[in-house]
This record gives sequence, structure tokens and C-alpha cells, in this order.
Amino acid sequence: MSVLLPLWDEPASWGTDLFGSNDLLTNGGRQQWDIDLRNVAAMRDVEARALPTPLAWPGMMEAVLLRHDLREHVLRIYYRELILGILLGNLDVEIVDLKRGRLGAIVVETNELFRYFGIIRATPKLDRLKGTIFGGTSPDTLVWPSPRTKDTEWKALGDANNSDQQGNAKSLLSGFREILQGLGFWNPGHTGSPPWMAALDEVIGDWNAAGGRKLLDSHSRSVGPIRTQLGPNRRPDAIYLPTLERGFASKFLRATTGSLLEEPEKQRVVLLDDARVPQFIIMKPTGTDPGGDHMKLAGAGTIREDATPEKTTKLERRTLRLIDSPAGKGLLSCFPEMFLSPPPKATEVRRMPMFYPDIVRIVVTKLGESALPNSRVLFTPAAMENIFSEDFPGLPSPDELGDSKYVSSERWKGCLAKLPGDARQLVMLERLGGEEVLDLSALGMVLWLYFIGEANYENESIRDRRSVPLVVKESFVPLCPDEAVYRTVKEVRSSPGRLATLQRFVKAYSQGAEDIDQMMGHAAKAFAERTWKSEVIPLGHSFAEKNSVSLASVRISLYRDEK
Amino acid sequence: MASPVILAIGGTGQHVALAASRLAFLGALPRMRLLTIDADDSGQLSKKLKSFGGTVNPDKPELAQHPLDDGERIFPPFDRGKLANPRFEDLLLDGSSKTWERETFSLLFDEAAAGISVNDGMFGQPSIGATIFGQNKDVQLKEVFTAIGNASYVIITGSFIGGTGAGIVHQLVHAIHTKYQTVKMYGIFVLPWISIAAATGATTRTVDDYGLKRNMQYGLHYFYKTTRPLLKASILLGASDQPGSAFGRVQVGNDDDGELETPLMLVAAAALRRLPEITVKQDNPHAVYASSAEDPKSLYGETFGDRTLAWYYSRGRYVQKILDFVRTPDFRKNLDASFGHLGFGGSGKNIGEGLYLAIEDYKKEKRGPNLDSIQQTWTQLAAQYDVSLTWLERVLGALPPGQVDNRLATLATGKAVTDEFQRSWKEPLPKVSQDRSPSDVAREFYQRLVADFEKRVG
Repeated sequence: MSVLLPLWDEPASWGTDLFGSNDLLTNGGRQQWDIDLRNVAAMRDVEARALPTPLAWPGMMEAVLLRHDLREHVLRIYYRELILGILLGNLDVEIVDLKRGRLGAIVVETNELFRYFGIIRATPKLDRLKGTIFGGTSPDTLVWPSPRTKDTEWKALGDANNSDQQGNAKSLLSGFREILQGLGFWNPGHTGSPPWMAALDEVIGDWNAAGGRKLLDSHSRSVGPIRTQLGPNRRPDAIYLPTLERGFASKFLRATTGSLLEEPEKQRVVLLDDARVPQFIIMKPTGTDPGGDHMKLAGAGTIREDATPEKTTKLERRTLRLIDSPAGKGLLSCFPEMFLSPPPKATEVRRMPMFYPDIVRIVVTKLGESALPNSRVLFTPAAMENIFSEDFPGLPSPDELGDSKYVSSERWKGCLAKLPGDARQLVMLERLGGEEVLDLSALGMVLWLYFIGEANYENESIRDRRSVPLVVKESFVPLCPDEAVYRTVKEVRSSPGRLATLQRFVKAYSQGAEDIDQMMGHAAKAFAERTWKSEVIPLGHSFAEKNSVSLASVRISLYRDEK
Repeated sequence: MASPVILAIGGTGQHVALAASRLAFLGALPRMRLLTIDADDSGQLSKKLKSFGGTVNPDKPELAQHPLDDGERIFPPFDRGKLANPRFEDLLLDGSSKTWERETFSLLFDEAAAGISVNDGMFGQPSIGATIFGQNKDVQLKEVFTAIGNASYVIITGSFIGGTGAGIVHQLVHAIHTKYQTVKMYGIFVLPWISIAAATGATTRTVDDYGLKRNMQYGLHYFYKTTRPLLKASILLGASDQPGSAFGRVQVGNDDDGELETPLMLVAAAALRRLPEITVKQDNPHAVYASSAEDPKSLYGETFGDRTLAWYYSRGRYVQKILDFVRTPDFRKNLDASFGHLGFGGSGKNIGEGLYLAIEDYKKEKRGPNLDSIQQTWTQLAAQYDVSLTWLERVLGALPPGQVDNRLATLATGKAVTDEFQRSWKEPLPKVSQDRSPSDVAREFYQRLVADFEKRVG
């Protein structure tokens, strides 16, 4: 009996019944029923209109990406240009809430993940094409090309993408991939894995990508977010794509020492310099649905540098405007839903930076827990000085220490102490990344001067013979050496005649079980070894005098050598 | 009690609905509610469906009813009165549309799609059909969705090949599932069953065989990925590619807009009954079925309920023969004569005692017009049998003599016809509190003929 179906040769497997079924029908039918996709060179030949959904073009993009033999398909070629364009900053993504519009409501009913939809358009880097729409975002493919963009416009984008920065762009993307691999999300080609993963693998290709993570942390800003499903059993995520921008993190942090201007009518917060010239624009959409992630999905917290040409920048303060002060509102309270309810975890932000908008990603990656409200982690001003350098790797997190209080690694060398009778934790850094901080050596120098009788405890501080404070009395960071001490310790020469004294000094501070005692022991050792240029072991007879004093409400023990 | 709902989408859906109407009229399908959705509600096909072959007159509903509830209505997927000859873009954008809305539209639809004039269909572009459906369903199709909520189950039928059905079908399934998670849904989806040559000269057609195949492939891709998991079971149906097959494609001319007759639509209509039955017996969630047949005449042997199609055909011809007799002027003379000269001293012997008593209840001055109405009702019913039975003969061929029911075979002479209705109409109608209208009277005696066919042994 003939089966009443097109392109079906086999007789009915169910006998003479009028209706029946078999495995072939159940499992998708015959191969001849598959979409006849071929490499086409022009958008007008793409038959997206045949897909029975308002989301026909994103659907076609997905169908093409799933076919690895279609390397020359125009959609695949334009896909690559979109990704490179975003990576290189030639394209930007503007998020719109489709639920507010007529067509949008239809789209959202078809697939709710399209609600916060990205329109991809050219940035000023593409000159005359600035603002031209090149594509849209999609949960299955991340991006897809617009059917209306002209060939000449694609060529212009392709030419712009073919820059000497393309290698860095691929490295950046490789860093992005590396993080997702580390999280176990990168499974291109596996069941339930989104098609864009294999597509991004293709963009990176054989590029020998090193330094991607560093580019991501310090030299990129993010666009998005784009909703996608990273695995078959996960709820949909919202991830940000990176765009190369040299020194972006440090420039942004520097700008937060200025002032903030909230402009709800323009749905943004502006960072102004000391002369009130706009430096950065932080998106803050209004009118979004309450609760949940709506603000974030609508693009809140993404940052653009103000595009005013040849603008000047005047920023002389060193304090980041994170929390409110008499001088004005802080960044955290301008975005309470990002920072306050609930506060993000620094380890999570560093582990999964592409899941957070830039104001969280940059601030927390660079400052760690100290950036978060009600932070209990204290760093010295000297440590904070480095945050404005372009390649600053970020302040360490107490979680990185594990059970140990002292770390000497490639990334940083320093010590953590829980302050007695206090929930706060003090971190003293000797080195961070490739830069010297010298917190421990500077504190060690103060302790040394007291040990050898060239400093005394007076008026709740340790002072030199001229009564100049060696420890900042009213710092929010206890035991914080004065700037002058840091300058001196940077230039310290070796002192050959003092080895025995140094040994007794180190021995004196090698006792004590409390965190603060151990930190002072490390400080003593750091200063001694910096002076001696070699290891100094604790040796010799005991100290002559021990005094218990209070510095900024922290009780410490000070030791004096024999006279 | 909730009844099943047929959702017929687009032109193919209308074809299935027309076939279903005929089978329902003959009794092979139970009475169901029909909700037809199509942008084209004024072409020849639509007129035929709504009027059931010209037998249903909305100005005189008492004379003839559509075999399917709401069969006289077609729900357009958008308000055609709102804009004169709208382009697709006009349905979604207007002067108040924001820039980002226009930009989103331009991303999702190219210039060609935007400019399509949608009044006469979606021109083979399923993405347009899908979008228009999504835009209008809550307002334009509110009544449809309310009916679905009250249905015992829903069968959606349409094609994957055009623009309207192909676009709407999937989004409709999705929308129903979103709104009514517990409603049982079945699908009867038609793959290419027509052949359209590339357009020559002036024509309203913009889709050809290549477009049909392409739409089918994309539709099946979407069906297996997204739609099928939402359905209890589905049937896929299409023309056979076997050379010379009676179930092959129907050739479509440039401007054909009437019914294209094919036995395939009878198979689709049969599936309306069989699909829920199959799934009760076989526990196979989201199963996909197909059909097989060689000779259209073999469909006369298919069972509907506990009777074959041949039996329903025979009964139809039996009743039609009697109706053809009793609606004539000659029988009218018998009716008039039964009431004697000046309306006195009559007898029901010649017309059936029960019919006589029913007419006698009418006031004398009303008898004439009421008899007119009774005969007009029988005329329409006879016409409806003609619509149904001649269609069966055209698509399946004449009923083989060996399958003709004896009861029909015995109705060969005028006397045999007379004996039948006199016997059937002997008993009076049950007493009721209010007077019956003449159409109701006509219908009651008609129903007796239908019922008696089964009772009497031929």
C-alpha cells in the first residue's frame, strides 16, 4: 500500500490499516524532508521567510550554524563579521525591552528569551556608517545578521575588522572561552549546547591566544547582556560579550574618583570629572518590570565612554566614589539592585565575570571584597594606589588564602589578619602582580625603628624622634604606615653591621598566636630581608622590653632591643 | 457537555473542513464545532464552506443548518476593515511606532516581506502568517480561544505549504498550550497535495511547487522541533508521488480559488475521528501517524464508528430519494388533498398519519404557508445530501454495487418510496408544550427516515 506522503517510497509498514506509524515518522521523517540548505552568497537568496515563526531570521542563523558543511553560507560569513565587529568595538549592542511594543509582544510570546533584545549597530569607529544596524541578538546564536544591511556596508565592516587588532580580539574571545571552559559550560556540538559555541570556536580558529584573561580583566568593556542557555539542564543565563578597549578598567575606576550625576530622564548615570566634564555613561533603564533581573537584562550597569571628541580629563582625587559621602552619592547606591540586594560575591564575580555588567565586573574584579557594601576587608592606601594602573590584576580576596594567612605566589605576596575583637580583616600586601606595594616592609620599618629605640609610642601613635607619626593615626586602616615610611623603605640600603640586631628583631616578632601578631612577624621579616637582601633567621637573645599599646583601637605588642 | 473542536486553518484547512462537513452531514462524523481561520473568507472555497455548498442561507437559518456548529463562520486572522488593502508592515507599524520598534521590524523582516499586501493571504510566507496570527489572536480570535477552553479536545488541521496555514498552525498550537495546558490537542497536517506551475502571465499566485516543497521542509523542521511535543498525536498527510496515483497532486490553475477535489481530503476528514481513537488504544505520546491507500474506492469500506462509509452513503441515498419525492409539487397535491375540500374531512393515509396529525394542528389559514416551509426544508435537506453524496462519488468513484445496502436497493419504485415514508411517518410526534415550527416538523420527520434506515432490515 502506498503511503500518502511526498518523497516516500517505502510501502506502509503497518499493513492495510488506513492509518499507522513507524520509527521513521516518529524520528523526523525522511532525509529528503530536511531543509535543503546550501551555501548561498547573497542575503536575498536566504529563504528565512519559510520558517513559520516571527523569528525566522534568527531561526535561519541557527539552522546554518548547525550545519558545519556550510562554511561559505552568507549568514555564516556575516556572523563572523558581527562577532569580530563587537570584539573590536566597531559594533555595539543596544538593549530594548520588546514587551513594550506591538511587534515585540508577538516576539516575546513566541520566545520569551527574546524579550530583552539587542540591536547591533555600528559605532563611530565606522565613521559614516555610525548607527547603521547590522544585526540582532538571539539566545541560540548570540548574534545574527540583518537582512537589510547593504553589501557595501558589510564590506566596510569587514575592512574595519581586518585590523591589526584582530589578533587581540581573538585572544580576548579566547579568554572568554577559557572562563566558560573552566566553569564546565563549553561543550560545542553536545546535545543541548547552544550552536554559538562551535561558531565562536571557528572565529578563534587556530589563533595562538595568550593573555586573553588579562585582556578581559583590564582591557575590555562588555556589551549586552544576551540571554542564552549554556546547557540542557540550566535555566537561561544572561551573558555579556567583551569589546577590546585598552585600559578601560583603569580609566573607569579613575573616573569614579570624580562625581556622579543621575539622569533618570535619559536613563543613565554620568561620571563627571573634577571640572564636571562627562567621562563615562552608565546605563540605567527606567520603567522596567520590578523585581528579578529585569534591570540587568535591560542593560543596566553597562558602560560607554563619553564620545565627546578631544575632551579633557581632570581627576585629582584618589578616593573612589563608591559609597555615599557628604560630597555626593556613591556608585553602589546609584545601583542598589546590582550591589545591595543582594551584594554580589567577589569570588563569583571573578570566577564568572561575563555574567555581570561592567560596573560590577570591573569594580569587584579590581577591588574584590573591599568594593562591596559593608565590606570587612581593609587594604592600605598604598595597595589602592595601584588600582589605577592599566594592568592592575585586582586586589586579592581573602578566599584565595584558604586557611593560610600568608601568601607568596606569582599573583601576590602578603598577609591577612583578622583584627582582634573585630569582624574586619586587614590585608597587607608586599607585592601585587609585578608591582611592589611594600605594606609589610613599611610596617616592619616602623617596628624596627621602635625596636632600636629610634621611635616611641606617644599620643596613640608610633612617632620618630621628632614626634612625626610613623603610623597614620586617623586612617580607617589600622597599623597603616605613613607615606613617608613607604618612600623611605623603597630606598632602604643594606646595613651590614646590623645582622645580629635584625636577627633579634625578627626573633622578637616571631612569637604570638593571634593573626595580628603573625602579621607583625611577617612585617618584621619582610623589612629585615629587604634590608639584608637575604633571608634573616630569628636568632639571638630575647627582647629587652615588651609593651602592649593601642593603635586605632587595635592592641599590639611592641618590642625593644637591649640598649 | 463539551464537544470536540476542529480548528481549520487556511485554504487546506477549509478543504478538510468541507470534507468533514459532508461526512458529518451523512453521520459518519459526530457533530463537532468548526472554527475556521483564514484571511480569505470571500473566495469561492470560503463561500462553499460557509454555505455548505449553497444550502445554508444566513437569512433563512430555519431551513437548513450547517452540519458543523459555527461552520458558517470564518475568522480572519486580522481586521480587514481596519485598513484598506494593508501591507504587512502597516499591520505592525504606524505613526506612533517608536524608532526601536521600526528597527526591530526591519531586523525581523526584509523589504519584500514588509511590502506584501496581506488581504488575500500570506502568499506562501509562513513567517508572515505566524506574525499576523500572533498580533491579532487575542482580539480577533478571542472567540476562538474561548471555544477552545470549553472543548473536550481540539484538532488542528492545515497545511505546512502555504502562508496562512503554514504560519498560523504552529503558533496556534503554542498559544493554545500556553493558555490551556490541559486541553488535549491533535494535529492533522497536510504536506504538498497540489501542484502549482510557475506563474505565467497575470496572476494572483506568488507561490509555486518549489515554494511548496521549501515551506514543507521548513514546516516539518519546526514541527518536529517545537510543535509536535505539544500535541497528543499528529497525522502527516500528503499527495503520493507514485506515478498515476489517484491520491496524487491536484493541478492548480493560475487563479483557482474554488474547491480542489481529491480523495486525500476525505482521508484527512476521516482522521478527525480516527486519530483520537487510535491514541486511546496506543499509549504513544506525541506519536506521528501517516495514511496509506491505493484505490479511493477502498475508502468506502473504511469504518466510521461501527458502520462503513458505504453504509452511510447508502443511507444518504435512501433518505435523499424519499426527500426528493416528498418535496415535489405532486406530493404537495397529496398534502393538500389529505385535508379534504375546504380543509374538512381529510385523512393521513397517503402522507403518513403522523405527518397528517402534525399539520392538522396548525390553524387552517396557516396550513398553506407552513406546508411551503416544510417542503422548502426538505428541499434544502435533499440538496445537502446532493452536496455530500455527489462529492463522494466524484472523489471515490461510484459505490460498487456489491456495497450498496439492500434497503437502498429496494427503493427502486415510486410505490416503494411511498410505502417507506408512510410507514416511517405513521406514528404521531410526541406532544410538546409549544407549537413546533414547520421547519422543525419537517426535520423531525426527516430524522425518522434516517433512524428507520438502521432499524429496518433490508
